Amino acid sequence: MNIWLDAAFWIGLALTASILSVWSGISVAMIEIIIGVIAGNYLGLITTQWVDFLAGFGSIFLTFLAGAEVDPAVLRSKFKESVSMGVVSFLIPFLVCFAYAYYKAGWTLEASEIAGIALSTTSVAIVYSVMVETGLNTTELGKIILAACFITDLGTVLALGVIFAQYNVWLYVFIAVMVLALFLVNKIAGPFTSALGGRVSQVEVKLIYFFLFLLGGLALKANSEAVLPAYLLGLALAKLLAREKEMLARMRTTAFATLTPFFFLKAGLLLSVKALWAGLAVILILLGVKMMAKFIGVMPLSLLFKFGKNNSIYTTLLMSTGLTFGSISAMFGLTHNIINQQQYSVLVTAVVLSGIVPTLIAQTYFRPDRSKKVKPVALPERSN
Amino acid sequence: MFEHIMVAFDNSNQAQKALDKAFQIAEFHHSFVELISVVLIPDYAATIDEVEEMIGDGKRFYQAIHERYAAEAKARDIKFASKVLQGHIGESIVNYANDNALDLIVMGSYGRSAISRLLMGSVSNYVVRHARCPVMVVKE
Repeated sequence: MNIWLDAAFWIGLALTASILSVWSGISVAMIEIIIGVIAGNYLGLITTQWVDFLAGFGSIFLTFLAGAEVDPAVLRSKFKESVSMGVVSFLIPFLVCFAYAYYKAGWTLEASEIAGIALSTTSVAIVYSVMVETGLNTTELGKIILAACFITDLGTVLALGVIFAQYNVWLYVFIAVMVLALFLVNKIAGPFTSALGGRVSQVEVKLIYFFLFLLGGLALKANSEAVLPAYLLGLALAKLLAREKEMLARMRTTAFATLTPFFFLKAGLLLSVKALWAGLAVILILLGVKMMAKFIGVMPLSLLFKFGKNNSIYTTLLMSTGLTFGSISAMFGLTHNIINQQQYSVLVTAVVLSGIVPTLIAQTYFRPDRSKKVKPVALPERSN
Repeated sequence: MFEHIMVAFDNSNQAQKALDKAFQIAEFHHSFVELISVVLIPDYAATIDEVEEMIGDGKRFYQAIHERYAAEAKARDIKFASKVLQGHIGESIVNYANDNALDLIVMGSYGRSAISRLLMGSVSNYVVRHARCPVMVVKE
């Protein structure tokens, strides 16, 4: 084994994915998963310990960034609508997908829980990019949808962190340290960054890494999942990171260049094409069940909040999307031997499809910005 | 005749030729030229950062170029404005043109990403098919 040639191969795949992403306009994460599938199934690529570490760090870091993206002002401004929609958007799909996997597909209890969690997610990033395109991100409706997505994310990380935790002394240690760390970070990160930040040694970034690893390690001890503290840590630092754009940019560069490619490539690599074909019917059913469950949960609430029929369908479809947290949940299940490779392949494919299908339907048939009139621009006075 | 002309611009050679042609028309018809560039938003993004980074980079890239052409328009006494939109390229151009009741769209014949061309045809094809106003496609 030649570690540098291995690294060159992995980074070569990540580079190819990035080039294809620029070329096609499709998210680099989606392409990394697809390239991972090809490399794993047809090029004989396997994971190694260092790849597992980088991929794990990548998933923790993605979750941290997702937590840091939460805008507390948006959450506060439409609290009732966003929290209720976010909760049902997580809970109903979780219960329905769990029930399908357990009672119909015959998965074990724990595997069904993973299915429920992976398919209850909403991709905030997909929702956000769609809303930026339609200009909805600045409207009341857009802000409610985005805030609801954050709540759904929180539901996912809470479920991952709590359902599989072992209720032993380590869990209490983990909770106690996490509460203390979140309190501390909230208090000291700002002054710490002002005093020591902006140096070549990246002191403030190391502080965040330290807490991410410490809390992740304790979560692991309690058989919980490192994404829970990562999300909460991101949430606790959201205000600071919104102010410290430069620091966030540096951290993002590190993550996208050296961490997240390993996570998404690995997510694809572990997917078996053979299992995918064998489970095609289940994949489509799970996708349908997820979308149906989102309709059962989100649609009535949207109508209740007087979004109107078109906007309600649009909102529901957007909240049916999934990618990052779904992949993280499925990977958690596989690496903890809760699900097997067949189930993992089924879940990840359903998750990836849930990123594409609802978005396409929503954008093609229910775009709210296409139903409104836009005021034409005023022409300037003629010069002669 | 062409009171309000839009130039769909991606900084390619073809787009620069299209802008030059639009300036010639504007000088003749005393038209208002609007230079429009579209920042492509990634489909199915993994993080909000990925979206914001692409938008930020795109805007910075086009704004500097737009300023250069604004100066050229001023020197040629052409009424000029510019805007950077975000979204899918063909769709954004058509929507903007339709919403703003433009008289003419001028654009180059190339520009779209290879896979989009493969799946949906070129941007110019899309705009010609969907715009409600005349479209001039400037060939190399």
